[in-house]
Amino acid sequence: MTTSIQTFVTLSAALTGISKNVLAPTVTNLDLPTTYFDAAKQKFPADFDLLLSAFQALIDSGKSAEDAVATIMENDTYAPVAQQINFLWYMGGWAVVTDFGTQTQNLSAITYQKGMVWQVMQSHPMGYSVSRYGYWGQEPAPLNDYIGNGE
Amino acid sequence: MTNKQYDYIIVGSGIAGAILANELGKQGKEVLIIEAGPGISQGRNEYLKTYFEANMKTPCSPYPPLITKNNNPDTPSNPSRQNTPRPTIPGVINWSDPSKSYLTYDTKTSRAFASGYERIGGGTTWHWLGTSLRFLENDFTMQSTYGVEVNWPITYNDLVSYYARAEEGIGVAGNIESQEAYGVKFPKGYEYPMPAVKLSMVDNMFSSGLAGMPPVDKAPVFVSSTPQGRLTQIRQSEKRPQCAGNTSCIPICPIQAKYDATITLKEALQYETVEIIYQTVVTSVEIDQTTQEISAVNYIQYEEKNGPATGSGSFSATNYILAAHAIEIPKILLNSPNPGITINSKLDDANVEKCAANSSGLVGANLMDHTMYLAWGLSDKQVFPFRGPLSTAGIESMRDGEFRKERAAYRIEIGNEGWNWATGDPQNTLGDLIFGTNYTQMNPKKEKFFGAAMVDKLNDIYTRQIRLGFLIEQSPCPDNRVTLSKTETDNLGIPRPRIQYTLSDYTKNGFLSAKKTASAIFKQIGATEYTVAPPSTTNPAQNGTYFQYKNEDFVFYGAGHVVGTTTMGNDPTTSVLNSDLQSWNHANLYIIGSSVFPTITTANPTLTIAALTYRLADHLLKKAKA
Amino acid sequence: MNKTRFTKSIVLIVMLAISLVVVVACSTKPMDKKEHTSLDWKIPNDIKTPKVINTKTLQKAFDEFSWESFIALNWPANKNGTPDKKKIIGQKDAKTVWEHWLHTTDIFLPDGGMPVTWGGTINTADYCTNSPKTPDKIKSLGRGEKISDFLVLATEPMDTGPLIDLNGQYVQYEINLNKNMYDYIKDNELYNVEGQQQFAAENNVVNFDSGTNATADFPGKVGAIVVKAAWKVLGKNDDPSRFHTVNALIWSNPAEKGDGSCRVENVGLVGFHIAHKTESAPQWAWSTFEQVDNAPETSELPCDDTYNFHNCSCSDCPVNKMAEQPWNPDKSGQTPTQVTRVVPITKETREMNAYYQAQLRQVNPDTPWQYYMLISTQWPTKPGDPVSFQNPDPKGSPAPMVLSNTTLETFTQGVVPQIGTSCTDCHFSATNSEGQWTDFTYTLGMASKKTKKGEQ
Repeated sequence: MTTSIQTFVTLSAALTGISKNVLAPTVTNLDLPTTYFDAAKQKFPADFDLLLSAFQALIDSGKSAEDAVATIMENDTYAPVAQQINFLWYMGGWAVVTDFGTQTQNLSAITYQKGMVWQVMQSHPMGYSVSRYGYWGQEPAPLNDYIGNGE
Repeated sequence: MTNKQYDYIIVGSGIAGAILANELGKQGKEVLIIEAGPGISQGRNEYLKTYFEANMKTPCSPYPPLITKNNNPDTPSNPSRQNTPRPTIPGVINWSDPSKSYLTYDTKTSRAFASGYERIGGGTTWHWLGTSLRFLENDFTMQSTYGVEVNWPITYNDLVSYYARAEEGIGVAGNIESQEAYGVKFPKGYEYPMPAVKLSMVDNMFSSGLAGMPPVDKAPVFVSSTPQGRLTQIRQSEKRPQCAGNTSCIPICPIQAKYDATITLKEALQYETVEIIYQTVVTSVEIDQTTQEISAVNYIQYEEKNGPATGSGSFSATNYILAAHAIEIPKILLNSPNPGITINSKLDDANVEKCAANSSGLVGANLMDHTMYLAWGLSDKQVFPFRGPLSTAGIESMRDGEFRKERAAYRIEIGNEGWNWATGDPQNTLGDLIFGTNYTQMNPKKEKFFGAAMVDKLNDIYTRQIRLGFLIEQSPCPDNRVTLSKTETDNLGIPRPRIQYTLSDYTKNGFLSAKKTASAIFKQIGATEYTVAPPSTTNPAQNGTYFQYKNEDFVFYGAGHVVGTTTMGNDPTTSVLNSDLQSWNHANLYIIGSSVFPTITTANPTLTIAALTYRLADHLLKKAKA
Repeated sequence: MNKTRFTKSIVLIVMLAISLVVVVACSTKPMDKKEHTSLDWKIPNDIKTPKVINTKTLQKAFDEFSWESFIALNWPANKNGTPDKKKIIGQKDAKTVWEHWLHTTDIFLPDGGMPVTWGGTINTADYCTNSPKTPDKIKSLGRGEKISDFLVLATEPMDTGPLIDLNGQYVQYEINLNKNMYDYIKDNELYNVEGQQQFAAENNVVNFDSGTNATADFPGKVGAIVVKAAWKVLGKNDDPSRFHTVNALIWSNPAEKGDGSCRVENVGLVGFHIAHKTESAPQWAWSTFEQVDNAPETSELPCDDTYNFHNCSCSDCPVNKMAEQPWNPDKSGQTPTQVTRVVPITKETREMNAYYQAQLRQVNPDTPWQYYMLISTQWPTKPGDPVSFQNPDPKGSPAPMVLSNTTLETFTQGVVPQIGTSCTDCHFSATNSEGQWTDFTYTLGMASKKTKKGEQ
């Protein structure tokens, strides 16, 4: 993992509230950090780099990732990009905010399946069950099993 | 293929066409199935990929002709340039724009028809939910029992054995006791083909929460497991697996645990005498002016998905059965001039179109849907929705009673998918919390969230989302009609449908009751209701489905149940078909599907469509022997 | 002549000695220097854990595991089914170890009775005698050294129909289980419906053995393995020297509209699935191999080579399209399937294939085994309990996300994971007729009810 992708993962974990182990596991069937890093660079050619640098600078100055993100969110240039990245991890696509609600523009069929929103509700993507008949009659595993134990 | 005289031509390869072809093929009959759309896709990969990529995951989203492009999610393709256009949800949203809506209207007099269907091999069962309820006895005798609507020309008892065949053919998982509890009658000792689908945590919460709820209009309020066409066990004869709760039944079951008509279609095609031809659109029927018998069906063929016509001609058979669903069937008939027909109608003769099967003037009339009222809220405890099939139980106990003299009855579907239908979740609540908006009412202070605080809030909201869907019986009204547009055609030059469609006061009274009942239910179970009554001007997407009644604002949704446009009856002046589903005018023309229903009742139509199809097959085979 | 044979024997003994040493050495600790073993008759009981663990190294470990399994399973066997340690794979095309394993028809009998004894006489006569169309001389033919395989299926999963070769012949399939899996089924009486129901009624859940890894004192035990083989009838324009070939008994299955008769054909292996449950893969490891001439990749089109299931001179033949119905294996003149491989084989896998093919050529430059290749291995990146409702990911997030064999899942190849495109996704849906979990195998769903004859 390059240092900028490492920064991106630290930022993403703090943004999404989901553990790095879940966002960027060492053993995985899809490298989400690289996929989303590349997509963000394409969508925000200038601002994405600025966001990453600003975030890394805050970390270097001794702030925790959570505090660094809180600062980022108060900045009018960085906040919109950070918000989109947050949404991207959750839904597997970019947000389109209309007058009547938010819609998703999926990056691909596979990023849709990898959306974290389904983990946060202790379930699975609609259209891709990971469990077998009858699971819906019982409580799922605890939330932490889905999203890791925070940072 | 062109010169052959078949025993039967079946137009349409949905559940009705497939079952009929299979039953006829079993007996060695020469059958040709004509399907307007493309053939059965290999596996379901192509459809699944389209579905996963789709931004608006509507019932039609996986299926061709595609209605959204990934880079422009709100613009459906123009139906004028499609070879098999059909009504879609984006079409409902843009109902007044013929470049987006397949169905055309006079928007001053009509509401939008809110349901769609598919024109592909296997038909609309690709995206049905799977709900397989039987009608109740009184559903067949609304006029004589309650003095409203009309009677069917057959009774529940006439269909009992056919319901059993339909349940076996589809593979319905169900529980007899739960159906008998609200009044369904079964022969002694009858069992569903396999055990009922396991109830969800959401179902169990409603079930225990409703204990002690007082009756509504004298009808008790309790939860019943829903008999449904999805496998809880596997069948040796079929190569598909048990349900795994993919939670995407509508629009597509990724593993084919849910029944779809391609299963029966493939069975039918294993008979040497059954043929199918795809991408062939039947445009009209030819009628012999001396005998009034159908002599041929005319068709246009195409090769490229939305390319030009590549051929045309006609096919002939001894008997013809239209099984193309309730808007395409009247379209074919209205497009078939028949100057030699004798009008025999209660309508003014001058208003009766001289076309196929139309002595009553009722071809295309009595268009109905289950107009739906949605109610949603947050349960007081975590119930973990977005899991399991989209619905596994409902409240069926309010489908019948004296109140039907005054207002439409309804069944209540319990949703397992949170607020997915109601508010477009999960992305809408997610968007609210991230971007500081409040479309779902979950963010009244319009704050912006991120990190652990957002996770906690999201989890708290999602795991408690519940929704109810009231399938309200729309009463038949001859003025609710399918006619042919005088200006709009599809890519093959075939006139598109023009719709006149409104809700009766009887149905609107049903909405009033539904609204009250929904609130009472949420209160009883300790949930907080969030159903929003929309002012008409707020969201143009709901413009065509908005109405105001007795100072209440409503939006109606479509259940996907297109019913009633070529009804059966005992009186040729008030129906299109006799009780054998034979046209009053053409001895060799039959119609099968939901268009033959004189009323829509409160049950989802598919099981009854299947039952009527088995009955028609028996009739045709008996007639052939004679 | 004598001299050459003597020299060959020396070489053999030395090679065997080396491989024995290597096996003993390997079984106690992970490989560090030498990455690949030489050809070995020993079926690996698990992957060799890489020193550095990440997706790439684990994929490589599983791919090596696949090749080692393929070689060991296809090792020439003694009459009793054990690997002939005096021989090396490739010297001469011979009946393999897995061809001695019992077949689903030996285990799940039509009358629900006791399975055939392991190693006992196999008699497939029942299937063949029932049809008057079976020639007399075939009626009493069982399986043995001369007729080694019994092919009973001619259509692919998810009701997608047959794969038809360029001579209009249907590809035929068989499923064999290893002794470990057979023992579990027999000991727990899972070979008929009543036995399975009894098993479930006693609150048991099917859980096949994942074997045990080797320790200093213990060579390790191989867990449950099931193989599915795809065979092509060798005919016009086929070069038999490029295939592992056998004389197989083919049953025209009435469930697939066949006429119930049997015939003997010379067939060549075109596809091979190995599913193997190990400790590091509780969701099983899924290996799949193909004969190298099966089909071009989509990126290799337009093509001009000779393929088993693709006619390069037909530019407008629809690709990977299901055969027209009615499907009937006995009907002649059916249109061949035009197959392409949708998901390309990775560079790393190609390199590994080249290595093992070279190893095989070293034994015998003409061996047909050099004409087989690994497509890939699918394995769980989140190994865990597939049964528990408390596991947030029972499927185990398999890598790669999709994997298909062009001869076994011809029509459901795709890039989006779901039942038709991924071994794990498909087999995770496996149950018996009552809808009970069967631990990733569909074979338990083949069990019949006991009839009077089969009752014990």
